Amino acid sequence: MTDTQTWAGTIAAAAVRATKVYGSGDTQVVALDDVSAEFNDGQFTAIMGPSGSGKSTLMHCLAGLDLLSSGSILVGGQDLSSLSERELTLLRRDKIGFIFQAFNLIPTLSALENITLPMDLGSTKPDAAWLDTVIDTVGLRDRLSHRPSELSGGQQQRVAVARALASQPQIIFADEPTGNLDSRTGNEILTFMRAAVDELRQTIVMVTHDPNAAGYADRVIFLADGKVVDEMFGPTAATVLDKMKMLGD
Amino acid sequence: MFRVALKSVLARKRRLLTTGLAIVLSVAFISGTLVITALIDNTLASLIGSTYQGIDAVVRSSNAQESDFGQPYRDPIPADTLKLVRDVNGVRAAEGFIQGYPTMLDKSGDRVQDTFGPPTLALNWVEDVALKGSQLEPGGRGPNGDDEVVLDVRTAKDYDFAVGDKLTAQFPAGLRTFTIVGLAGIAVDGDTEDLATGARVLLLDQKTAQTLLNKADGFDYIAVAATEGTSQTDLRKTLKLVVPTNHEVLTGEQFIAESEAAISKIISLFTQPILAFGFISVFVGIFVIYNTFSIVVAQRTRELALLRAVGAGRGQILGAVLLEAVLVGLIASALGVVFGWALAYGLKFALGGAITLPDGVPALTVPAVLVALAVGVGSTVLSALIPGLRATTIPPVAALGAVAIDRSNMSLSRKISGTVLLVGGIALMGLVLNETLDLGLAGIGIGAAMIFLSVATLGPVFAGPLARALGSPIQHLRGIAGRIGKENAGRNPKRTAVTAAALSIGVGLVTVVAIFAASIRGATESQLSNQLAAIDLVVDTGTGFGGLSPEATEMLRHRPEVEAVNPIRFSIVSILNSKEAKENRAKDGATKNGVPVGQSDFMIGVDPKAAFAMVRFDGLTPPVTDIADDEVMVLAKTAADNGWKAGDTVKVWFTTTGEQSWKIASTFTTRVGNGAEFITNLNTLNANTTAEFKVDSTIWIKLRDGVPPAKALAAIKPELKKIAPTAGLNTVGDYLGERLSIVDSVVNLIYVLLGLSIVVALVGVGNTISLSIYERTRELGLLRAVGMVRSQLGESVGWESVIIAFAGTVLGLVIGVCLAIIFVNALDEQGIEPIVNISTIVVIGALGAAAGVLTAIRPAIRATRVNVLAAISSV
Repeated sequence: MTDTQTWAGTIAAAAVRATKVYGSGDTQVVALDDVSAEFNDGQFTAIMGPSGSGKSTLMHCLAGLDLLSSGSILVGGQDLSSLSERELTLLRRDKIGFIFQAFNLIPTLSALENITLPMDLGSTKPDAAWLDTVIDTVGLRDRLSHRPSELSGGQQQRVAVARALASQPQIIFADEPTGNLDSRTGNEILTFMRAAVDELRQTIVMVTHDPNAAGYADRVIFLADGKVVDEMFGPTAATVLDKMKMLGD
Repeated sequence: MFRVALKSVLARKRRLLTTGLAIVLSVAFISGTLVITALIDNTLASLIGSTYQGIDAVVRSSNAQESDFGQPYRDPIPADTLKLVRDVNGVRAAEGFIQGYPTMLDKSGDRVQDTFGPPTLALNWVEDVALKGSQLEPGGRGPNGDDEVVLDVRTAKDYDFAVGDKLTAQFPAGLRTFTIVGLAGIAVDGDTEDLATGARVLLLDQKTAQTLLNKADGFDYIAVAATEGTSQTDLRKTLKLVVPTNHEVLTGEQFIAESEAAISKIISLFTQPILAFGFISVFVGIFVIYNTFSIVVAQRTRELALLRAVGAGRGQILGAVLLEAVLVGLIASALGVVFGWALAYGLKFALGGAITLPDGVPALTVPAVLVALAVGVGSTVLSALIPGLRATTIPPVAALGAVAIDRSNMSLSRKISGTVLLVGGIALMGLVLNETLDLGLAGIGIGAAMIFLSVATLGPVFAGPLARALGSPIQHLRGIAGRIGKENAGRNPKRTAVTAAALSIGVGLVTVVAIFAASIRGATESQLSNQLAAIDLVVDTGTGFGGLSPEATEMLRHRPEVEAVNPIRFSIVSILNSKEAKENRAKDGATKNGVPVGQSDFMIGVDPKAAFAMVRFDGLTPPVTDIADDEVMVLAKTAADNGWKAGDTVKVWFTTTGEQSWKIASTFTTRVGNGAEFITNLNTLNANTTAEFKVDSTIWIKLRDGVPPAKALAAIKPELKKIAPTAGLNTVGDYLGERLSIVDSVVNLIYVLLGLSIVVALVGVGNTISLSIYERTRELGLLRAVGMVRSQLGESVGWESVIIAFAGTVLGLVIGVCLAIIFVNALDEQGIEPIVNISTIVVIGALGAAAGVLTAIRPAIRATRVNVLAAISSV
């Protein structure tokens, strides 16, 4: 793993004093409470925290799926709060990759069509060489014409990883990408994600509550009650687990 | 379970509305038609009852010529019979009645002509209070002498006639002008305040009526009033002993019942088709509801599995689904009845020209409500039955999971039943058209229904490929939005098939009608350019009965512009030695009321010399140039059906002259002019037919060489107007054009009526897509998350809808074109060839696709409003 403490690249995405409040009055819930965090280019960051800590909300806001109550989100230097709904959609299409926990794929499209979906939506031609690289990285060459229902759970997630990579986005967000997989298949997917960062110079932010998954990251941010409570570089499953215990999860 | 079902309905009010809409529309149609039919029947019954209530017995000739167009034609009975009847014990009064069909002129000299309206009758006025039937308005009196008339109150109101005005009418014996001396109507239930009428009526004195209607001193029937204390049946018995053998006697009640039945039959000619269109939309509605319930059950798999897990039995699950269907059916039918009531009110105005209907809102009748509810609830429950049964097979441990693509293979039973339906439907139709099976229109309808059902059953095989084939150009043109729309249209083959099949019904029927109309037009045009090319002008007497007295023909014969004139008369006849006549005898016996049973048909009489000069008879075998007395020409198809050839004998029966044996002079292959299958000469026809038919119904005119038709028309028109103002004079082209415009207006009406079933089917398309989208919420969320903008999403929903609607349209077009070709070919004896207009097909196809855009609007808007975060977060 690279020594990310001395890493001096640009910032892919950042949250600045991000606050997200749901509801009002008695039922008011503060999901994010003045969170500031930066996510560097070429870095694999895990966001961890117990249920209700705000980790998913932070990711949704960073990815332009949800809007902050106050503060700002920057992706590739662009302030998301200034964007219209349509501009946000185009930003997600062109600058952001997604890997969800499940239901990642459109069942009517083949694996290859799912991979190129964001580019097809923008009517841009995928970079053929890059696409080849991505497909080979996730090892899907012989499965490209299959539909999702003909693929195993692990293969489906590999397609999702490939889709996230294919358009060479500014940043990839992964929401519990291994949550629905057995541990062996999960590790396989995490290895691919690691490879995407190491070999393909991609940037990944992953929300997880699995210390083992977090062990694949360069850096872990710990959230609790809507606040960043800790940060760890070069984590391993064991150190993350210890930290979690300390945080009282 | 009742609460579960109730809650399920109430929780999905919007779905209730769209599901129910199909039922609301079709129930409205059916109940509206039933309400108006009941109103008309009641009104007519009370009109007829009031007119004839004083009559205790009717004496008339038993020599009757059955007619497909209304009451039979009878021989007049001589005046002696009236004298005989008057002397019978128990007879208080007896009056002879004469009736006929004149054509009336309004004040500006135009003929009073209601295409779909009431007939104009001429009757004689009688003084006897019990027998006269009508009441005079105050200030009027009965007609006396040959220049006085009493007019019915409604015609007076419609055309602004009052007592003292002049009124002109054309009778079989000629044109007459009268002074109106009174206005009369029927006092329904003794209420003389508001006189009503059914037909337009001219009342003349007896002598004048007999003269003008060519009845000499005879009567059409004698109405008898009994003395105090004599019953109708006793009177009938006594009269039967007295009257000559070829007479029959009816009681007053029998006479009223017979008149009511005859008029109900005519009214049903108008109401039955409307009812049929109502049932077509019910049929379409069944597809729509079946589909909705299928989808709903599929979507509620988890909920139903949970119910099963906590102990609900299969019966209870089925019960819950059916209960929901009953609730939907009840609510929708109730709404349908309300709308139907409004529709009846509208129909009442539309039919106001044909009959005096009581003021105010038509009353809802119990049968109308019951039938409407039965049809509405019945069809909903029937449609929900299969989805309900499917719901009972959901295991308690039904898996959670994503919405998979329906890749279920075609079950063998589906393949078999679909094929059986398709083959059976085609076979049934073939047999009916072939006249092997005598089921008439009902058989055709059932056959067509089977074919459409087979489309829905076998549909899943080709729905996917068809949707993809239709969608592939869209994918190439519109990229990923088109690609996703195309895939979604084909992803549930069963849903797509049923949805498209529902639409294909309306589209198929529209196509049949369009091709029919085009074929009729084409046949007319070819008649114009070929057969009738030598005819320059045509005199017609308009629609309905009545005709011209001979003066018109005489005048035309002597015009300098005219080279030849051919007056055409027609008569209802009974053919005795045809195949159908034999079948009728096998069914009804050799005679009925002393009259030989035969086949009712009509025959025209022409002036052979003029006819052969003006008309090209196609395929004359042998090629003759004359029809001698007691000879007849027969349409080749008719001759072949009956095994006749030239030289054989056709036996024809007339009320006046009895059985006649005529030699077949020749056969011809293409119908001409009025389309009769039998053509004889005028002498022969006149010698045998009754007075009603001794009028010229059409006159063909050939002009001298070099006389321009327009100029001749302008010169002859004013002259004709003087002696026959009710006649129309047109070039043959305009004449046929006018008749085509009637075809066009009927066709347009049918389009409107079929439009209803298309609307129901389109509601179904919208419904299917809405429900499918609801199912795909997660997928929509994913698409939006990875960067699909709203317009792209809306577009893909639009394409999905367009593809399904277009698939239904294409199916409908294919079925429609095939059915139309079969139907038109079955009518080949009419000289009509199937004409399939490519432009019509293209227009229908384009409209179908465009309708898909409309149905997509609502689901597309809903799809674009999906909350991305909520959609992707709901695991």
